[in-house]
Amino acid sequence: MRLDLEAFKQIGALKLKLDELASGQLQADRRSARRGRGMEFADYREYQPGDDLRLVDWNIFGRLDQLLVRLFHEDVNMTVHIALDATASMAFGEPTKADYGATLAGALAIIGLKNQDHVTLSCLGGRGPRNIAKGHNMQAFGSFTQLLEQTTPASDTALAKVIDDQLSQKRLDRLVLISDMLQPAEVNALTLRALARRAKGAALIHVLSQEELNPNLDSPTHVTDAETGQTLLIPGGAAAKAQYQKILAAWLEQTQQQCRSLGLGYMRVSTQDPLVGMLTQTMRRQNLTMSAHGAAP
Amino acid sequence: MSFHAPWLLALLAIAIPTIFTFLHHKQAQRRQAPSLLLLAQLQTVPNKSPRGLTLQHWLALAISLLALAALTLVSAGPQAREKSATTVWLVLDNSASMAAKDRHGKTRFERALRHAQTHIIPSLDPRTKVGLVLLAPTARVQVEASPIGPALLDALELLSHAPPQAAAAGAHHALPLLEPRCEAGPPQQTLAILLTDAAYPWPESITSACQLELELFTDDANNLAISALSAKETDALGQQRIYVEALNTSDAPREAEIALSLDGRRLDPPLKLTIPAKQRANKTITLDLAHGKRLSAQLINAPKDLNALTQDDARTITLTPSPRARVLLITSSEESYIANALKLHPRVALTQAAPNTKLNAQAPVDLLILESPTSAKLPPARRTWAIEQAVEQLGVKRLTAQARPKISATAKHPINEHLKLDKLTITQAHALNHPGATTLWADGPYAWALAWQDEAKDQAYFATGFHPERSDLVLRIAFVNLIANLVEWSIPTSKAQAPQDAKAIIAQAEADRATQAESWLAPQRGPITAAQTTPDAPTQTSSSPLLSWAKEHLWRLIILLVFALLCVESALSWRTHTPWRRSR
Repeated sequence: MRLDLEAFKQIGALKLKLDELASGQLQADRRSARRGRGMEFADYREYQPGDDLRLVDWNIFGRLDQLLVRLFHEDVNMTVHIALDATASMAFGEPTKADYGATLAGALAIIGLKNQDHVTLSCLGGRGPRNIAKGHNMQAFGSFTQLLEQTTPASDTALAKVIDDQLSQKRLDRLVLISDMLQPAEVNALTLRALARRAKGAALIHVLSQEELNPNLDSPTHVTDAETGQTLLIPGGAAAKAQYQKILAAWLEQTQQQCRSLGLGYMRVSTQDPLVGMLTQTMRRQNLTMSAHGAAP
Repeated sequence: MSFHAPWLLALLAIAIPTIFTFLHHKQAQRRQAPSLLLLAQLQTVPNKSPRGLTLQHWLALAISLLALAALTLVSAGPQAREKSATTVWLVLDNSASMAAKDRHGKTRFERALRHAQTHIIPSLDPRTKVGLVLLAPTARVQVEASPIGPALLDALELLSHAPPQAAAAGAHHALPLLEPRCEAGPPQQTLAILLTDAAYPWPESITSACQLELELFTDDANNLAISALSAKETDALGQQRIYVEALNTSDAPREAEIALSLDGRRLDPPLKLTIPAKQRANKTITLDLAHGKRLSAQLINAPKDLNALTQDDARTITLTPSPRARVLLITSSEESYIANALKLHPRVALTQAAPNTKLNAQAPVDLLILESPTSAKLPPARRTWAIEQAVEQLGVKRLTAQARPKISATAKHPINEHLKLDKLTITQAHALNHPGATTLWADGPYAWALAWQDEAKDQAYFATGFHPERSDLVLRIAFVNLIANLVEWSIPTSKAQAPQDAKAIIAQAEADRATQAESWLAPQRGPITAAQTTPDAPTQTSSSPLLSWAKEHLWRLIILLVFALLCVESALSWRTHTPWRRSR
């Protein structure tokens, strides 16, 4: 993971956007469905013994001779889960999709932690001493970087199953999957359905490298699948290139369409794209981030 | 085996990238990919057995390389010595003229000796017997024929220290010495290689039991020569067109002065020619000279250091009348325009006959003009011109044509040279219908054929559907030109053949000598150009050495270029379409 100081400053001014009510446990600045202490007035109810007298609206008592207690929306933090695909296919590209995805995951974690969100980061598949890190402030960031640096892409993992296994049963506020989605179409559909099921606002960040976008098809080549070990003879030449571009475009369109139909956010990024621009502009356009101060960063 | 262009063998190097491409693409095309999810949907190559494919492509490579080798060898022009020749005699000219130095300071003798040592002897089969014959001071066998060994090699080495000396005779005088030796051996198995500058009169003919091969050493010396002298009669009054050509073999342009003399009487002033480096220059002048006299051209004031050979400084020819065309005109008109025009032509021997005259059918003529149809038996003629009524004698059908047609187009043909017949007004004409004819000579309006030119049974004929007298053609200069063209068309000409090898050059030199009594031009290496043999060549011939070299080797370069492209194309097609080995 590599973030320079300037990028760090820029993403520090961001905040994960949540259109719905937050469901965190700790007090923070996101509106929740619970009534309690907060800044924003929600409703009145009749005073009951034991209520804090500071919450009684004395003006109303003076006018109407009724004891009413003011209720506020309780401000809590949000629960964010960042899932990083660490299967073997992510080890390709320059930089590798795994590196790019780890940097992206780290940046999202920083955004969440700085805003006291409850952030969980998990690596799906891959090889490392552990596969999950969580925290709600920047003090926990060390464990995130440790996880990201110690995990190396490996093996072939069905993402849908891992998501079901690793994620808590409680519905999350935000779930972001960073993956290349190079798995069979039916598995992709299962994965996206699992995402939609697990969170109120889920999004897929589709990371692709030049290996996928513009592979070297100049000559016939024996290509070995990094995950399955299967080898195929791929024809080369201009016709093969053109055919591949059609297949790629259809696949991307299909993935995006599936996300749209499930209400998932979808962002396609190339490992060649600058990271800061992606966080500050692309994600903002996709309603994933916003300015922490209410203005555009 | 030696090669005409050995440098072309270097192009065998094309095989290296071909093999490299083959091997490179056989081994390197393997890689890992993140997933086959998308790539697997590409159309895959049919599943063939890896062994079969490999064998197939090894065969393709082998065939390509063999074809490359064959084409390169053919292009390089292998000059296989007669392998059947079991005895080779080196006839080395060590006469005084071989002491002439070239621009590198080497004498012709040194070059001839070195050629024998480094090219001829190494190219021979080791079992071949080789003998050495020297010319100066008299022709003698220096080393008897024996397998190549110290005796021959030492003799050649010793000769490198012996300067050339005056010789009694030319290289061909060594041949009688060799005759008994050649006759004793198996037929056609003894080869005599004459290494000479041929700077002496050549015999009328050479008959020898040996196979002869000529290696000339003249080109590189700085020399000025008269390379051509000819005369052509231009009219019957004795006007001659004289063509003189001079050659400069040195590296710098030279001024040459050429004195012409007629029967020994000098014609002033001398001609002056500026000859570019290593090229020829010529001049054509017109003089009134009587037939039967001898015209000589002699180089004068040529510096000795620039003129290695003096034997080629002069040429003499006898002025002979040009051949006459035997013309037989059959006409019923006593005042025929055509007859009058032919009578004025200096090179026409005209016989005029009425249609009912009995002709000598045995006397061939060059041009038969049928102005009127005749039933008489006609003599054989190389060319026939049938006019209007007489065209049916040639099988050409006449059709009625509109009155006063005009010629709308004329074909490109020697008969048509310098003629402009467009809009010729003809008072009476017939369209000609002849499906078998090949050249439509003149066309009328609405695609009428007004004249045909064709050949049948080795006789060419020219049929016109109109009579010149019934058109305004006779009032034009074009009529005179037409008559002149017809005469030229009918006079037999012999085309000069460009000799291709040394023997042909010898034959050409013999032919030259037969027409020149006093001097003889040393045969040049390489083909004789048209400028040497054609008297009416353009007045200035010049072409750069690079251009002539490119012309000479163009076909070889084209063949190699095409093949190189084929190699690259096949390599690329292997790369893009051919799997070398199936994955398991």
